Amino acid sequence: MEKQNKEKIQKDKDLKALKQEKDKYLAGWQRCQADFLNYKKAEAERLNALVDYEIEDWAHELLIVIDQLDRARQEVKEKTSVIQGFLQIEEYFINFLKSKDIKEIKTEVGKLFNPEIEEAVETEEKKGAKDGEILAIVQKGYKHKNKIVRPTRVKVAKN
Amino acid sequence: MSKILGIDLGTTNSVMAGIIDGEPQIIDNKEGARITPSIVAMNRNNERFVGVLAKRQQITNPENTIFSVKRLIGRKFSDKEVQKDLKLLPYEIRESKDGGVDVKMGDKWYRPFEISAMILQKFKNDAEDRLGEKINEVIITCPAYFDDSQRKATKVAGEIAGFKVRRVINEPTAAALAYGLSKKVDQQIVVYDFGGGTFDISILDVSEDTVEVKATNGHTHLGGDDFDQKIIDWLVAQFKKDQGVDLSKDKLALQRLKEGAEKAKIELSTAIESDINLPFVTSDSSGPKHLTYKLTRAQLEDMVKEYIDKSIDLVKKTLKDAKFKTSDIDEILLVGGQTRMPKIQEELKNLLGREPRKDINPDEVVAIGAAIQAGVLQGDMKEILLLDVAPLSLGIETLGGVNTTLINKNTTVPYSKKQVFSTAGDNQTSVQIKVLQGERAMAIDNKPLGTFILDGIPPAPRGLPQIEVDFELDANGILQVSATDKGTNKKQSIRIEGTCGVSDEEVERMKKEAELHAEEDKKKKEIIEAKNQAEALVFSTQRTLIDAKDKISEDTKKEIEQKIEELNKIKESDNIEEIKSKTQELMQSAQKAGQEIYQKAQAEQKTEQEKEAGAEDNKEEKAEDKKEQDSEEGEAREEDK
Repeated sequence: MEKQNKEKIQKDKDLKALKQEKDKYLAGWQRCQADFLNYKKAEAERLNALVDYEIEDWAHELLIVIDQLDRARQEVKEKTSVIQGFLQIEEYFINFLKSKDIKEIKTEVGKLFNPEIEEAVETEEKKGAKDGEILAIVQKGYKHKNKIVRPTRVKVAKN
Repeated sequence: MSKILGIDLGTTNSVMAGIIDGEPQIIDNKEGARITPSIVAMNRNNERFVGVLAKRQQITNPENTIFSVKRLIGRKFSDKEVQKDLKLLPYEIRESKDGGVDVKMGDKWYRPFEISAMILQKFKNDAEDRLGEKINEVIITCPAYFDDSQRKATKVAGEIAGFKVRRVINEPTAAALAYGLSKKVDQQIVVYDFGGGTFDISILDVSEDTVEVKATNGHTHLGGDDFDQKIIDWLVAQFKKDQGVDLSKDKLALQRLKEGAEKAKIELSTAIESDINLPFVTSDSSGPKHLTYKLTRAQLEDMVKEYIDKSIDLVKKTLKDAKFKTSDIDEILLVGGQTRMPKIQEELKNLLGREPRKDINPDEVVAIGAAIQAGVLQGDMKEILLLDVAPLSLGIETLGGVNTTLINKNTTVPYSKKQVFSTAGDNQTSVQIKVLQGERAMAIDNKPLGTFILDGIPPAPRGLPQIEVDFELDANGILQVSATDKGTNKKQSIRIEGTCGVSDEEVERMKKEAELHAEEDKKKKEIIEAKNQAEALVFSTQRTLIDAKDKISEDTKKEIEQKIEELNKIKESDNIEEIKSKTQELMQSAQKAGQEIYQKAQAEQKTEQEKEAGAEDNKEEKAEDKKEQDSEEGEAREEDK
């Protein structure tokens, strides 16, 4: 009888140890699964970020083309239909960028300069203007989603 | 334990990195950029800007925009360098009470380390935002030539920013850490650091437990920006000559020239020629003017020769200071964006007789090194669960003595892989599975780990039985290989222990050998493949001859038999060209036979069609079946024996 009891106690002990071991392994396995799922999520995020980087990178190059078309437009004295056609190309580019979520930054002449979205490239003393007021937009700025691809370049009053 | 940040606090730009998921990674700042300008500014409303925002407002507020403060940190006002910089920096600088330096920003005077602290604080906040956890500790890098007081000031900057500064480490040492060179004892390393505004050269000596800076030199006002300026000057001169307009007076034009020059410089690191194309760059009474010039790599190299020569002279001087010969140098590490210029790499190679290391982004290598040091301190680099990798590829021997790899080297274990194979001969009732370890293409050149036989496969034409080979490599490196005949579910397996236990030397030797023999192996493999293809073709054509003997003309049959004989003869040799051409010839003859078979079948169909409409489908199907079966056999990759 006593022997049986002892055996039972030992068996219970073993069972308990095995259960503990099982729980430990289960927890380890679950953590491993979770780690993997988290890793997959992080990787997906990283991939998205990478795609965004890529978009911003080539947008940068494309924006230079748009700048130059913009400059050309300002120089146009008389709009022949050929020139009209060329300027429409700019429209095409801008729409294309919009489709990729790249939009022009709204900068207004007369408002105060804000380095969050604008970059000062020239200053000028001007009577009647407030210090730090935007006098002119030198080059349009763009953002992709909420990130500044390129700040608006502006001329700022310095009095 | 919280993360430790690694920060490369540079003169012009700074970069931060940390250990993320066990790997050192650059951490983006709030604006989403990997690099942050080392600039701090205060506007009239006492708003403080750090980084790119400070840079954007710089020209509206030059007297309150502090840049290059690293040139002043921890220095005495009377230092020669400070006196020199005094004339170059647009903000106010005065002697502090203790003989140090004060700079003025807004209405207040600050010590340079307070300015650096503002940059470090931005990094702390941005990193906490990005990683979603508090970061209290940091490792900051500084130039090797920094003295005690400059190092102390750097440390204080970190403390003011709210960090516990675990270490201030040398920039060249960080670069060596990034390249994992701190573990290799008895190495002499040249670190060539050509940044935006400064040039540093250091020679490191790595011993058992220290990385010692043997000698260091540099130029505090020589950097990539000087290269840009050379291009700008050239463009201005050219334009003046061609168009008569001086662009250097036009601020906006100059801005565009600067961008164009930098772009051209970057392009010329990979291209031989670059177009600088700036339409509407300016205008005069005659209308708009456009700038377009070609700049070649050779031209650029000529323009900046003096700078490169100066840097190379400094390398020589540093070698002399360290009492090293050029032949003593084991590694050259490149730091700073300007080192991407091929001419610089070439000059270094010419001087030191070895290829400089450039696999890590030279703009980020110092921050990466700081993060690695951080990882060592916080235990990340060791703590991560030690998952082993298979040091060498594992595979089996297939027809013709080819090593077919199932598990590639460097695969993280545990891992398993299944692949289905078939028999090489008709009525083959057993296959031998020979397990191999190594990178070589031919089975004989790899290490055999074990062999077993799966028998009891029911007799069938070659290529028909499906034998699934399953490789299971567990976390302890124990490999279990089993083969199952999917037709009968008969299974045999073998357990191989200690596959990861190959000594490191052995692994290295085998890898080296594999590299050495890669070309030779490729040829051998090609020959075997050509032979296998030839054999398969002979086999299938022979079978066609038997199966369709009454549908093929005598002439064609003779031709094919002759070609088979020719191919059989040549396929025992190693003449791959000959085997291929004979295989091609046989294929053409076999196609002829195929045509005849189909023509005959069609003719038969026609006559039968007239007799009986239903019989037609049957025949066609049969012909299709045959064709499919033949092509399958041609491709099958079979288990030998």
